Amino acid sequence: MASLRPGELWRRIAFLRRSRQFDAEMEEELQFHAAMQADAYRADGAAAREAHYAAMRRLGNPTELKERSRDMWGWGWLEAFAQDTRYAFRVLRKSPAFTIVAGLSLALGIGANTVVFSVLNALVLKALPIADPARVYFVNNSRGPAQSFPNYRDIRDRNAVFESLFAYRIAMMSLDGERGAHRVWGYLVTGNYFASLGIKPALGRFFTPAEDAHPNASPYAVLSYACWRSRFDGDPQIAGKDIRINGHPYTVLGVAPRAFHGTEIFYWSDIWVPMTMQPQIEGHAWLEVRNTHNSWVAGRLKPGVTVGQAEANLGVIAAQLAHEYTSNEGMRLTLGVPGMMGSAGREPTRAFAGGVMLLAALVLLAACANLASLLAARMADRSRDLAIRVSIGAGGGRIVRQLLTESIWIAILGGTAGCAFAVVLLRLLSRWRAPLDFPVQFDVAPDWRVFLFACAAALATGLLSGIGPARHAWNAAPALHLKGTATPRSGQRWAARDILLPVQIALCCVLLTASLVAVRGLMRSFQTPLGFRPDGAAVVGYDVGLAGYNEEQGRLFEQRALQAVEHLPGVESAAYSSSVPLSIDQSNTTVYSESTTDFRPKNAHSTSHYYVSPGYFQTAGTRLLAGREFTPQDDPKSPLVAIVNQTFARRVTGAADATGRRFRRGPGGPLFQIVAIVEDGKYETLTEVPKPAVFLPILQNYSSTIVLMARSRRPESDLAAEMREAVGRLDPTLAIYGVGSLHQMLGLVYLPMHAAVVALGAFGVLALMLSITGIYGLAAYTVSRRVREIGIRVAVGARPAQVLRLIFARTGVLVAVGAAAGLALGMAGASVLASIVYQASSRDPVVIGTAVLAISGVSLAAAVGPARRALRIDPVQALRHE
Amino acid sequence: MGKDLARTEIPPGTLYMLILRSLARLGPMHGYGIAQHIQQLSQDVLQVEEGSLYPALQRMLIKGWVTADWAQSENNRRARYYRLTPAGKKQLSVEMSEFDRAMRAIASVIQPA
Repeated sequence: MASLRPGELWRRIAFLRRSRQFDAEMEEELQFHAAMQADAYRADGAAAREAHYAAMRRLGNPTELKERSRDMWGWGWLEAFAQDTRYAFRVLRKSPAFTIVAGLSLALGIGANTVVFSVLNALVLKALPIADPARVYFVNNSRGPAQSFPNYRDIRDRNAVFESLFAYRIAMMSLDGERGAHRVWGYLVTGNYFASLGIKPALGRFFTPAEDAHPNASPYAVLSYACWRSRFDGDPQIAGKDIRINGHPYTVLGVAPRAFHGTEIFYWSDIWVPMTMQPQIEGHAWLEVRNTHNSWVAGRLKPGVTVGQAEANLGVIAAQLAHEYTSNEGMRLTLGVPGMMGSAGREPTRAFAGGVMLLAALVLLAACANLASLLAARMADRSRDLAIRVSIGAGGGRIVRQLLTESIWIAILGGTAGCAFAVVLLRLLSRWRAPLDFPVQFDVAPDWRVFLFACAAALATGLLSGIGPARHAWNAAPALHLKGTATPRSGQRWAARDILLPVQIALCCVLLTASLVAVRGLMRSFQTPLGFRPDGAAVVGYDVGLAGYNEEQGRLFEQRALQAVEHLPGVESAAYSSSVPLSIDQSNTTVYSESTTDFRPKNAHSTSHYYVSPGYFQTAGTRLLAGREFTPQDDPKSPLVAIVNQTFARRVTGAADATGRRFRRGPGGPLFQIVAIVEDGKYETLTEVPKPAVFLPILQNYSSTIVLMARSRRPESDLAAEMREAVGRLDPTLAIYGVGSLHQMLGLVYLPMHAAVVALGAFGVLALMLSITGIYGLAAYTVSRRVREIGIRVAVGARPAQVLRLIFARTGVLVAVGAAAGLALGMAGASVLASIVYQASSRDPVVIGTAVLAISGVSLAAAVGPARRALRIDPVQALRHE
Repeated sequence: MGKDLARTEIPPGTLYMLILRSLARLGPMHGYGIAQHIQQLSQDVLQVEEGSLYPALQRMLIKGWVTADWAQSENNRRARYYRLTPAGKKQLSVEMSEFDRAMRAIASVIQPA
């Protein structure tokens, strides 16, 4: 078509308004033409009738002529679409069962995909709500996400590629409010933090680099929007007011914007405090310690600097730092996208989200196959109708368009329903706060990307599932179908839909196997030996440092708290420690074997470490394999002692029974004597390989952060509440947190697994539902196609069993083939899952058995309806059917 | 059915020019009159097929070369009369000069040397 000039475009649009009268006008115009022609023939001497017919003959096919004249206006596609849509809706209304089944299976498929995509979008695709996020990068260290603060300062001052480089750290604080002290989670940040991110305060102002210049003398705070609203009632005069953090006065400078929760996606901070206040906030100073890697570093690249250039520059700095300080040996610096502890958190998250997305795509594919086979089945029933349409002049293209319009409308309807369902689910998920002692929250609210995705998914589904049947119609010879014997004889040829069912069943089996493997893995991981027994243990946590206690006061308080808890009814044993394994608060320390004199990193052993009180192992339920528990005599006046786990004993001392041997803590540090060996356990994650761990007496090593644990036969929550009360009575200003069972404290390590199991379980259920609709569709279709044949067979004496065999033998074979292929694929694919879900095994007979049972059960359930219909066929009626 | 209609006895590309020229001569005219006019002036050599004429007229309406109005015909029937617009006149002269050039070029090619 030539380019549209404005006048032409206008005329074309104006045409749409009189589109309805166009046909009538064309009709009249052609009638006039024919009448004039007939007049001319009559003038030449033809009889009136003859003249009329001759004129009509000459005119040809008036409908076709009208169509072509109309097509000149270029709205053919729109009119055809409107017409096809009207027709499609008529057809869909006529078979509500089909429409509901088809729409529902697509709604499930598209809804599931929308939810998963939205999560993927939130975790991986969406940038942090900061200015020009494409230039902000996280600096990964080769040993993990964190850098030591002196290293941060050196990288900041020596690099030539960052406009600004900032450091931040998640920190816990005690915020005094009207109703006593509350523990809040926040960030320690360098003064350039907010300026680097380019965000504007909702109120007041943010920190400036000037704050960095005064060690321990910048008592300022920035509140999150939520914290300002909930704890300070949205006080508009808050900027400049004093609040108390850890018992010290701090001045509120401003409030962060509502959408900004900090520089980590999952972690929603309440408060920001200058990094220079670190000793006051955390109780122990590490800002000047070169080998304490506690701060995360990110920065904004200068305009025009590429990642490659920046990493090259950082490489030079890393080499210098490694050369200058032995603790930096092997240092490598790389860039990563910020938001999830740099690459350390982002890569596994991306892999996981990508994997789930893949499974979701399989669900959609299964739904497509489902719809395609339903459409194909219906197509056969409609072949006569189509044949008539073809023979009265509908082109093949028009028929294909018609059929595609139908499937696309099903997809649009299903997609809309699926989207609505997804939005509701995502709202709930966004509002959900993980039941953890930590502000983990996911903002997975759908945005334009999600809706675009859903639309694309719906359209693709419609096209994909409609294309097969449409092609079939295109190829079908109309003449053959007009004969009325459209039924091909049974068991003759394998049609395309015979492939669709096994494909669909196979996809469903893959999903089912995956979800079973995951659920099974979770069940087993709850039975994994943790190295302690959480059942029956109740805990409370607090930090006396946050309440302003010094070491002496702290020790005294801990003794009193322990005594108070020991006297609670039903308590069998009680103890306290700096932290417990698998909780969020884990620390590592470096140890050397006694004989080591070369303290370079290659000779160091990184080991989990805990400070524990006497009786800790008994209370935690950790088995002592050799030696003795700590006693109250293991105090600062007696020799340094330690209890280690089996892996520590083997690796550091080289002996299984290491009691009596010694090791060194820190380069050139003091020697500790091992007094006992305990069983190995899990310390940071459930999936970790055995790790060395060392327990030191808390009486010889002070910790202001305390987890107080008591074991009893009573419900953990009851005891925990009483413990809280008992400790709270000792000091009402102390912020107490993490009250509950020890199981709850371990929530975070189970979270990814729970998420995986919920997602995969949902997919498994979806897969089963899709299998039901798919099998039901095909079985019902088979019965309806062969009503006549069944009637004849029943009339000549076929028994019910024979009828059923006749109908379902083929469907059964198809399902079996699909299921076998799917199970095999699922087994192969499940090994990937094993990396996410601990203890997942694809060669688990229970999984295979359950999958086979489920598929068989589902197949039977889906076939019951059609089977009953087949058995109820009355031969007399059946033969009248055609 | 399509095959018959696709065949035209009018040299390809000249139908618009012939219609425009006819309307320039006749003034407002209906489709039948235009076809008759072309046939008569060409001494029955050029047969305008209805299957080409009416789509062509619609196309010319879109282009704005003609406008259409309903009126009583000479023998008291209601007919759609097409009328040349100024844009149509301009188009006619463009097409005629192009056709003229093409004809002369063709002639010089096929003329015996």
